[in-house]
Amino acid sequence: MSANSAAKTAPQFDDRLVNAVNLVNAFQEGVVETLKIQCSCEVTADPYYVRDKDEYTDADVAGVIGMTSSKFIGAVAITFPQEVYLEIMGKMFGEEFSTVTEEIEDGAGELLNIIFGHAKSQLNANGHDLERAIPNVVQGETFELQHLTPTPAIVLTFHTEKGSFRLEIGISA
Amino acid sequence: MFPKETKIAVVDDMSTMRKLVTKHLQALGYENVQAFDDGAVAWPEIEKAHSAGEPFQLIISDWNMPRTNGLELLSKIRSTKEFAHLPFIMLTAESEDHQVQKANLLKVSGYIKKPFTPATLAEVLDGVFKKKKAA
Repeated sequence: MSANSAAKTAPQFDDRLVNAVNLVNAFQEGVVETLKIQCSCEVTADPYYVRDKDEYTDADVAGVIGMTSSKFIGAVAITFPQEVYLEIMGKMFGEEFSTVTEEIEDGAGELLNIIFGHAKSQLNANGHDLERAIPNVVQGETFELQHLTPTPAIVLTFHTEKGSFRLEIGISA
Repeated sequence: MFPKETKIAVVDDMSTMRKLVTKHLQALGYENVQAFDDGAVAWPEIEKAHSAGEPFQLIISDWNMPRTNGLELLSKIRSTKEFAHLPFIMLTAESEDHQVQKANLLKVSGYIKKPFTPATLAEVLDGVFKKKKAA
């Protein structure tokens, strides 16, 4: 096959798909690096999937951050069951926590802030112009995280020794 | 390295980060650490401490804060004669080149990118102290 015909038959990726793949890769790396460096916590990642419109996320602690760029707007959320959150905070501080105290209640927002910074720096070095808002933190008895954007969110699941947590990326064109 | 009695202000809107930085500083032997949750809160305290003759000798500040952000705090500090040479370390998740340049233009003394380890914090503290001593 000549180079010319190969170019003709090569799949033409939609910009939105390329953006989504870039976002997924940058955020996945951001989570793994942030948890490793900031919390001395090794995590493994499952392949991503797109959240079904009828699927809801149960969480005890969450952080949400809005994002804007010239290509899209959206939001990113990180959600933890309490046991996993306390495990991660425990490793970060070298202390044992049995409950989410006032001092660590915004940790999900801070971790998301750092993860976002990592992803933003990587994406913007490759032609994006991502900006963020200051993160919001949600904490309480198990609650349901509804959909971040009208379009289905991309879900990344990560595993620690004690369980799993999720990062969701919602994008609106 | 800065002397152990150095009076340090930690400025971050996230309590988790204030607790973590304070803990790392204490592990390095620094006990005279005060934490503030925004540049708007820290600034009058920095001025007050100076007037009382017990000035802060090092500021470690986040960039993104809701009222007075780290860059605005740095700008206020550098434009005040008494604090023009006060060591100021930016500890932030903002690490794009243009952002580091903005902080450098305002004569930031050191820059730590989050995520960070206690070893990185110690290394930057040491570098800032050596630079200050050499000036």
